[in-house]
Amino acid sequence: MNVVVVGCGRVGARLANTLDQSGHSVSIVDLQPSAFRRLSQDFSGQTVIGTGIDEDVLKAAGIEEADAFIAVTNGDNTNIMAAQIAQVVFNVPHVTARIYDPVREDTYRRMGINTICPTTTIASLIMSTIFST
Amino acid sequence: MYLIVVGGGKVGYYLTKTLVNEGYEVLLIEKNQSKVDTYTERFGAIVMNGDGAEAATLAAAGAGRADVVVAVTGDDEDNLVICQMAKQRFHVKRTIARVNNPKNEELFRKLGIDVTVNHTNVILSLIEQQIPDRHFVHLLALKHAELEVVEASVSPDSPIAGQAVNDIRFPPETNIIALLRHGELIIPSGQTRVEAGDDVIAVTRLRSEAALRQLIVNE
Amino acid sequence: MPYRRILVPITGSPDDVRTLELAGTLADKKVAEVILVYVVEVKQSLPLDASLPQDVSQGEAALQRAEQYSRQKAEHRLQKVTSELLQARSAGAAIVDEAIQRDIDLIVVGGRIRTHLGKTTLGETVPYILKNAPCEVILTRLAEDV
Repeated sequence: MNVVVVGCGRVGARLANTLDQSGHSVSIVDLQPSAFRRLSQDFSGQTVIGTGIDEDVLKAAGIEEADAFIAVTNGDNTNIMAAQIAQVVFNVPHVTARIYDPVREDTYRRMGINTICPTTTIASLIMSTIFST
Repeated sequence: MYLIVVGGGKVGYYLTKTLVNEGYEVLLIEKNQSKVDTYTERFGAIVMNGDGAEAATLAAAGAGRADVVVAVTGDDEDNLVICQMAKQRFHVKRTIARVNNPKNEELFRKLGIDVTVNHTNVILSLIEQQIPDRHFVHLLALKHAELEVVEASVSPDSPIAGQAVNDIRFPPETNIIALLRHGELIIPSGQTRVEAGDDVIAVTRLRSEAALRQLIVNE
Repeated sequence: MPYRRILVPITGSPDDVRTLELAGTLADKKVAEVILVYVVEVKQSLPLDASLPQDVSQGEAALQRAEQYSRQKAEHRLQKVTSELLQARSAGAAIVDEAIQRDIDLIVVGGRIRTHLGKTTLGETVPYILKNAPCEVILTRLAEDV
């Protein structure tokens, strides 16, 4: 699969490393060149410096041939906009955006975007560890 | 009419000030508390501290009764989300977004924003209108319908000079709205003759623009 | 120095008695006019002219109590007492506007120190009045158990 990851933080870098190791073709986008040091030494994918909400940057990352698109920058709004570009402009089949704000997450899920909300997910995981023991 | 302006940069500040002076009910939402304090000094209780992309802020601001939400922060992604949240959760009838990157104008419209304003394009078209030797000027783009309004001066060797409007073979989906002759406005009928030196104001489909330019300016 | 036109913001709480007493002591008994003002604050989510019957009747009741108190029960009874109910976005601004319009020479206002998110504050209304009033302002910081 061709995968474009926007945001090379802990989650983005981990996803990119894992996908790369399991043989997928990965390209990862981040505004800060220094962010790419989180990638493993033998990362064989492509790194692109730029913002994930610029169509030209996304094209350089190969979004036109992408099968999956993941937006995991630390900004909710950047992830939302990047995901909508991937979905509406480039028709990427699988688009996922991380959205910390539960209300925003709910809104965009209803609008048909595949979203993940760490806030509610982690809170309920913690609750279940407390009450399962 | 109640308007919510999000983003207290220079644009948001002067927009709010102007709207207040025009007598509208306005609320300015700004993230930075110290800016909020300064603006409250000047405007009174029409400045609110908060993140306009958050539903709780929009609810407290009364987005549910707002006629217009205008997002003018310096970040396109924020402006997009502010307008979409206003539309989706509060059913605001009209949303206006400032677009900093001109490439985002079309995207925003596709994503449901009613009106976009882009400084770069506004300044560009002003420059085009001011340069005397430009024979063909874009006045207004109605991108929703891929229509635009253009102004062009009829060159002496243009095939339409001396012809009646009815006899001119315009490109498809093109219409003359007005003629400017020696500074006077003429609303043309089919019999009106176009003269060399007239400024023609026409509405045209984007794809017919080149043919129209050729016809009038004969470059 | 006796004051002739005094504005007293009314909140409907028991604190009103303290400010009314203080206004009474400061007023020129023969000629002083005291204007009691209650402000119904309208949240931004509602239009300014929203109909708020419950808040309005609460305000009217508070004004009536205050007026009666200063005419009949107060140590320094007052004869010329007027009351005014205003509907506004912010009480501070409404009180200051009223003071300007009615050419007030003193505002007597009560306040309490509260702690919010680790910061002590007098709220929003009192500091606004202190800062923007066109006339003298006397603030009585109320004791805990009044």
